[in-house]
Amino acid sequence: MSLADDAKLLLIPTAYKSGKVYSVFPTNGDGDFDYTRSGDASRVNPGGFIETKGANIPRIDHTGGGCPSLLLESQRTNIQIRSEEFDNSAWTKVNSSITANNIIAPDGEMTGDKLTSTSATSTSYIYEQHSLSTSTTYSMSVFVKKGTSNLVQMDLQDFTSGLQGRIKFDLDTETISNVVGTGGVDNYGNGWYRLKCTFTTSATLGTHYVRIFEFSTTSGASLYLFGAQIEIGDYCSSYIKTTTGQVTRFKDECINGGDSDLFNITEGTFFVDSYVYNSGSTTTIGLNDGSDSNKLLLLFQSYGTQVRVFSSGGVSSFLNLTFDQRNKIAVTFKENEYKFFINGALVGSDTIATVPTGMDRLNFSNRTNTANHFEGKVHDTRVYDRVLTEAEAIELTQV
Amino acid sequence: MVKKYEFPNESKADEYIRDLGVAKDEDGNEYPTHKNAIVKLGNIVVTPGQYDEEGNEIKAPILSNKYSVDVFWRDSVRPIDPETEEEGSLPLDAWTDYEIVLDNEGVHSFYGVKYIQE
Repeated sequence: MSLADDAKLLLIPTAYKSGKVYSVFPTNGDGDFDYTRSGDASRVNPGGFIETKGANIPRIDHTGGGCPSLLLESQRTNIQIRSEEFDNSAWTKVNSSITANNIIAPDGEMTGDKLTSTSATSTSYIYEQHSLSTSTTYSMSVFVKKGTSNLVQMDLQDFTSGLQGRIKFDLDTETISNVVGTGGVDNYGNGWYRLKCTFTTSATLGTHYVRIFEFSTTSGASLYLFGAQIEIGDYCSSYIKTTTGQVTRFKDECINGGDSDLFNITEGTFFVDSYVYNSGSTTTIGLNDGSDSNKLLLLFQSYGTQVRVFSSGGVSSFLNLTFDQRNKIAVTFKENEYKFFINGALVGSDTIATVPTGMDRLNFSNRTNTANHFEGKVHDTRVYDRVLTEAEAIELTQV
Repeated sequence: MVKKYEFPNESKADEYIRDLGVAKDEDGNEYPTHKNAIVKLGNIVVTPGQYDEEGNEIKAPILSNKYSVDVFWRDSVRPIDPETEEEGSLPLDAWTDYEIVLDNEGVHSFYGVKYIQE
């Protein structure tokens, strides 16, 4: 028997319908979650392509292949108009030309554009002016694929305060360089990469542009582009397509898994395997009874280096955690014996605490579903009605 | 239901947004207690600027002197008193003075939700 078999609640996100995420255990439906999102949003489907899902359809995301995860994100606005129409006049071309709809894009359609250099002496780029706020954190991204050129750069240049954000990427060596802010790259398969850069704007801004460069200084050299995005926030969220105007994706809400038969227990184990975004906001996964009196929470701290285990029974422990990666966290609990495990190690304990009573729901948000919505990817969530042994908890949280 | 608003300035917009309700979480951070989706668009560009080939500004863009906000109101079904059959009020009623009506989607939309109802 595996450790999964005796979990009272086991959520490994795969099955869903509109407004519902199904748990594996219990099988009678008592462990299923309510899911809400007011409008469309995108995910990566099992075929590896970006696709749009309608309102209230949970996003089971297959980014990177392997086992899927439940994608939960906050409300975000893509302020980059014409996000996949680089031939549009919204994008000014400098020493370059754009051929529209020239290659299969990450959405599986012939929507990838070709950027071709027209100069052998100067760098080639396209740009669009923006009106960003001062002292604000933005994340920008664009999908790129190698043509005859392998060097691409995306930046945000302000003509008063200089470079605000920048990332340069070599598509041959998969090497990132010249980063201003925080940079990263995701591999979307079929030669497509998503360049990502997060930066905070200066206290003073003048005129500024987002620019996408083909960097080889070779006339005729080319790259493919798709899906540019600029959003306020500490991470690049899933792709939001725009045309004539900015577009806002609504937040995901996933709540009310389980009931008192599952969670009104005197001892147990709470386990979460998730990729936690460093969102700049405090986010939560937790058990509660709808009141402020009885709850056991994992609070991912807004400063992005710790998770706080909070129990209304008298626990408040801050544990170091690396965000923006997959983490496995377990809390075993019974009266005067709480133990905390992260990624295969016992990292803390509390010996003076009771167990909250009457808990009847598991929320990926605060108790009232009004705040602290979890932001990240949920791979596995479990509640046991027994205290796993240290050896079991270490095995369960091993990465 | 999507509605669009123009406030005289950002602080007036913030005042109305705050009046929809706020509370504090376990860490003392303030959060809204309502579930409407609010997007602060700010002073939007009315007339785009002009720039030369190197990106230098020839003519500055003209910004609206109004502060624009788009709202997706989740609670837009007006309650009806079962006895009097009179319609009750909604939070969006308090915003009516600043509402604008467009004949197109404007500079911003919500993903998968139309402002113009066909």
